[in-house]
Amino acid sequence: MPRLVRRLGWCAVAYAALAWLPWVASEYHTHVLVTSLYYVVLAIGWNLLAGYTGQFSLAHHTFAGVGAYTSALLVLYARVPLLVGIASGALVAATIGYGLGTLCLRMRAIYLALATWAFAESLRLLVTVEYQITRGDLGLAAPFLFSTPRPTPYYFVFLGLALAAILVAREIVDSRIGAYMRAIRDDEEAAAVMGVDTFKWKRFVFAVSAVFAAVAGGFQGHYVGLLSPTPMKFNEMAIIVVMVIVGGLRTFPGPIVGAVFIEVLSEALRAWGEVRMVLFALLVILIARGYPAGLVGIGRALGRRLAARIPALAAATSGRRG
Amino acid sequence: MTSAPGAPAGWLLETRGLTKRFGGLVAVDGLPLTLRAGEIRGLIGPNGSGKTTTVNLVSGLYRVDAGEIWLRGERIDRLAPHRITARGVARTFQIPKLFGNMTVLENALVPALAALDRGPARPAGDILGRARRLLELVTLDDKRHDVAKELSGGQSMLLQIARGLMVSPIHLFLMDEPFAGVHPTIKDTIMETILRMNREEGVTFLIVSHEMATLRRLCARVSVMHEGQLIAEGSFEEIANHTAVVEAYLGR
Ligand SMILES: Nc1ncnc2c1ncn2[C@@H]1O[C@H](COP(=O)(O)OP(=O)(O)OP(=O)(O)O)[C@@H](O)[C@H]1O
Ligand SMILES: [Mg+2]
Repeated sequence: MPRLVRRLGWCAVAYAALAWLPWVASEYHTHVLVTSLYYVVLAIGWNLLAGYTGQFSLAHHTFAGVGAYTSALLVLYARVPLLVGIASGALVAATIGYGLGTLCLRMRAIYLALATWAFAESLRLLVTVEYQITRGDLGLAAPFLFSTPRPTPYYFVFLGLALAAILVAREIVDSRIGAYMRAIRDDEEAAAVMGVDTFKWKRFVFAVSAVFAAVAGGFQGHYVGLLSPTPMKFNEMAIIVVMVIVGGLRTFPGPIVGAVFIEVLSEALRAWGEVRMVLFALLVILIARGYPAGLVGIGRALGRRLAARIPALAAATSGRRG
Repeated sequence: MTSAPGAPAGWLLETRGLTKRFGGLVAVDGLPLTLRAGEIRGLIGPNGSGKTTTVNLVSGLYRVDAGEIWLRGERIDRLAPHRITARGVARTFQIPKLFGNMTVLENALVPALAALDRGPARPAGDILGRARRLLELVTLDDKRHDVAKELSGGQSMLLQIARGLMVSPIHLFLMDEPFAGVHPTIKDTIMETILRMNREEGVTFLIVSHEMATLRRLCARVSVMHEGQLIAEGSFEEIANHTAVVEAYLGR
């Protein structure tokens, strides 16, 4: 499989190109980078579900919580190794994601959004109420992955995770499954009568996106060291939606660009507090009205305009298309 | 052909007592429809007589309330739409339903990609070759890299037809109003495509249409529906002189 080999090569190059950052960045900035990479994984997973398959789930952040709590609880109570805990979290999330996908099979847009939102709230309440096990709002101390809360070693893990998520998502999108997903999004009935097993693939994407979130959530839990139901609130989901839409819904790089952009902006405007959410909402409205393909779309349009001015570049791009 | 109890030999498609209700309305009412392999059949009837509902039942989008559907000796009325497609049934929609954000060529490839999910892989070259040939046949090959939502209404209908013909194997093609509102040249292209696929590949067609003049050039026989029931069937001459048909069209 030469394409996969080439892509693995690109990932190695990207890893090497970005691995030096913690040496020049402060500890605080490294932490922002780690968090950005965490959101990159979440946003890519949600874009597969909402952007490519048209299933606007509002429970994506919940699966990060499922991953984090499953892993922390198993490590604490069953004394399993940390990586086994995270893998178990992914498995549990895949199962629940498959179940939620099954529940939503016959639901259209708004009903699916409502059902997944209700599911997310239920699970958050469950975590809050079952405080004997989860310690609820008091917070559950999750053991550190590297026996330190300092961000640098975690950066190397999350950089790898983000690149792995990009690679896996790209492989899915370029495979026949990617064609099924886009067909389902554009017209589910037409996809079905053209032979696509729409139920099977909708569930599949639900499960896969849940795994993305759970793996990211699992590692994140063992990085921050304290789990609480707060990140299972709707706010967290809203941030993911904002990231994907601002970056570019339905574009492949959209969630990557959006996650880093919004996380960095959010940190830069930390002094604004909750007002940031208003700003993000305005940004989403602006983008949705004027630039549906988000920052990536704007970038591509600028690139085309620039290429038109430079004849050599224009020849190169038009040659590729023809 | 697998033989099942009561499965008649010779029919490609047979519906028995096919019934679909919407609340109190009986949209399809005990319909007995039979198609021979290789024929081109017209299905006519006034507005609201149940033609589209019949197509939706055969293609599996609607669940039947009563009755049976048999395809090549196999009962298919409990199958999901993609399983019916896998058994060789393709269709178009009255209002074209395309994959709007995919290119024309990608649209045509979806049935072949879907087939990869259930059977051995056909060589990619064969699949692409057939898609290109069919797009050529419906005069859309030049537009193969265009996004489907940019096509005109008539072109969308043509693409639906090419896409349906990518279903493999294909035994039965259901067309819901393929000629409605399309330009005469496109109408000719559609007719040519139907006749050619029927002749060369033996595809059976069931064509829902209001255009008697066009149907007359394609079909030897037509079936007439009225208020969900089959009220007549036969050649155009037989139909034209049929009192029930005349009454149905003129209103009682
Ligand atoms: N999904 C549905 N829900 C409720 N009623 C429906 C539905 N689909 C069709 N009907 C009703 O069933 C009857 C038959 O409709 P159908 O669309 O099959 O007619 P048709 O013969 O295709 O008509 P036309 O020539 O106008 O396309 C109509 O009265 C219609 O209103
Ligand atoms: Mg109709």
